[in-house]
Amino acid sequence: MDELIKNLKKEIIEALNLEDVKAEDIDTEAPLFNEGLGLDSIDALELIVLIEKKHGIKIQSADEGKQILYSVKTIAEFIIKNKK
Amino acid sequence: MNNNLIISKSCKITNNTIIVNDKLLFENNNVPYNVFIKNAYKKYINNYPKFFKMDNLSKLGIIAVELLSDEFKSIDGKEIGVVLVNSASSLDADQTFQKTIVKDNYFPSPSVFVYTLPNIVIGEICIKHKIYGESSFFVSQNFDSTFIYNIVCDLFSRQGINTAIVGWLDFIDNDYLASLCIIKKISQQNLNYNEMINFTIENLNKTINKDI
Amino acid sequence: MKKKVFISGIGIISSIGNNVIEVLNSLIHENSGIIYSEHLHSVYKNEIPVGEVRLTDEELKELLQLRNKLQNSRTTLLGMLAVSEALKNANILDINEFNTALISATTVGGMDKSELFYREFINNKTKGKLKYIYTHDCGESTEVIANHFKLKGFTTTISTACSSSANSIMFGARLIKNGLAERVIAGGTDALSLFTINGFNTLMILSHEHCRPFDETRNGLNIGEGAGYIVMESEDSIKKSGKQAIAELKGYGNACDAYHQTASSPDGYGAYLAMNKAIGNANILPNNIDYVNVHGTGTPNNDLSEGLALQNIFNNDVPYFSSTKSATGHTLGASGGIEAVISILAIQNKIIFPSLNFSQQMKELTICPTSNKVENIEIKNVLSNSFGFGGNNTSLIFSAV
Repeated sequence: MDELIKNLKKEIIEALNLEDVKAEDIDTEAPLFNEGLGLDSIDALELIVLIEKKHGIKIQSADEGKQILYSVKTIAEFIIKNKK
Repeated sequence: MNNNLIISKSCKITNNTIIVNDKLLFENNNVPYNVFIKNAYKKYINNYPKFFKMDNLSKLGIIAVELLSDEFKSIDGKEIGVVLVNSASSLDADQTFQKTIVKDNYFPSPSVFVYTLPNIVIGEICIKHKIYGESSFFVSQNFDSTFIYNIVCDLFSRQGINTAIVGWLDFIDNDYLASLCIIKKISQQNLNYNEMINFTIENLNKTINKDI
Repeated sequence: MKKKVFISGIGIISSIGNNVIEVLNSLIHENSGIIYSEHLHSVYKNEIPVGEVRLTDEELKELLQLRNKLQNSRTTLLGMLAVSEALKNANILDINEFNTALISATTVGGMDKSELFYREFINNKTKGKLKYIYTHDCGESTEVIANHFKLKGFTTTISTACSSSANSIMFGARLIKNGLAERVIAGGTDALSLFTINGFNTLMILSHEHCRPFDETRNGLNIGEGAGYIVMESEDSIKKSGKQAIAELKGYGNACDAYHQTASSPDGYGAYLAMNKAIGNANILPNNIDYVNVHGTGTPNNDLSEGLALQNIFNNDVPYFSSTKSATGHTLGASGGIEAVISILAIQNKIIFPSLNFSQQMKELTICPTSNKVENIEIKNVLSNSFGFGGNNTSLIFSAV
């Protein structure tokens, strides 16, 4: 789980062009949207693409994505639960 | 047509140089565009992380307008207009997006798709500077000074605009040119402008199309 | 210099008809043009419904009597057909008789063909048919259309997302008002492409059903294709030719929403500004508007934003409004031109065309679109909205003559 979380943070930084943000700066349990990193709706969609690309899991709707993408932790839990 | 309009400032960005009102302000030779524009961002903006999500054309436009922003900082956003022209449209971003919908590597990127329209750079400029006036983006082979002059005059005379960001903004295959200027309506109170360049077809042509 | 701008001709091709008569009939019969694509070979062919024009490229060429072996983009072919109809409709025999300009708009340009080239080229740089790419540029469609009709006057291309062809009309009107042209053919064209279907799909704003603009359960838009052009003339030009104008372009306005690259502001500020400008420009009051042809894409975001703006500007006394995108699909860069033609048809035929697939009022609004057509109604002024990505919002006002 820790390894997954560490890599996830790196993947997020790369996919979202988060310049000057380091993996250790991202709080695993903090909300990613609105507060925290302040990501927006397009970032959410890009994360959905990331999860499919790097982890092979498809999220079907924006609504489904909202809950999964709450924090790095919830994303990690989702990946572990759904990885084939 | 209008003799109370002036070109109050101009900015040209090309070949890793930034020139404002004919003075070289910034240079970053022998580095690729993305390094050059990032360094320009660090120097002139540095507090707008959304910059890093933008495509090449939008980054170019944002930096160029930043260098002109003193001219409209205190103006009501509804009274500022934007008129831009280029020949490559959003082809640079289009190519990037195409690469994400290739059969063997099919992962369409939403953040790239967002930039596959030439006027998104105007959107980014307006979001950053809270500009709510009229905007338009023309695609043509060259900057037609006569046509744009007439468009801008009409903006000022009929559309409640008193300041406009106007010019050429193009990016394709790492070849780029931003040549923008600010057009302003002047009144008796503004006579402290040192170099008042009247807004005429000839002066617009000289400002936008001149060679470095 | 309060010059008036009149419309003397209209031309259209869309998923609900290949010309004005067919489109009018479809609108009157409340037909939808949304289907699963027959011509576009997308992986989403049977998943994502679209507003596809029923003719193939070959059939379009046949109608245009194009015998050349040149590759034309579908965007250009659609544009040529609609311009051809507009010119006939306006009784223009010699296009260069008066100072005539062409302002055309597109977002897709020749992408429908370039993407065919790219698929082969990306994997093997020796493959791919070069003939597919020389039609790529947005400006190319405008030039080919101008050349086809042997137009010698000024031409230019506008590309501002979904407000593109509404902006063409606005700029065309300005050319006339400033004495720079006596006649302007203005509008736009866009063809379906894999590029746009995939792009919109990745933004998750496409519906997998027939779209339901302004409905509480709406879940996205249907992309469409087509072209719509109007011929505008100065008062003098109309008088000289002895023609009857079919409508007047009374006002227009453009404003920037300045909120997000692709989403509209939650309170519809940009939409409000654009409509307000147009109404002021027309020198009328909001209560002089009899019908609003809304942008109404059917996305949760647009319809809420636009709905709130409508309530605001009309002070909750909102006139009849409908989204004809429920029938044609969202024709992107062509939508302003196509909906201009539809607005004029409403005036001419005294009909408010319905918003299809509506059944449930949006909980945030106090208004509903007209879901049944209204006939035999005097329509003096129509407000037509086109709101584009990048926050580029344009509103046009067409009036009866």
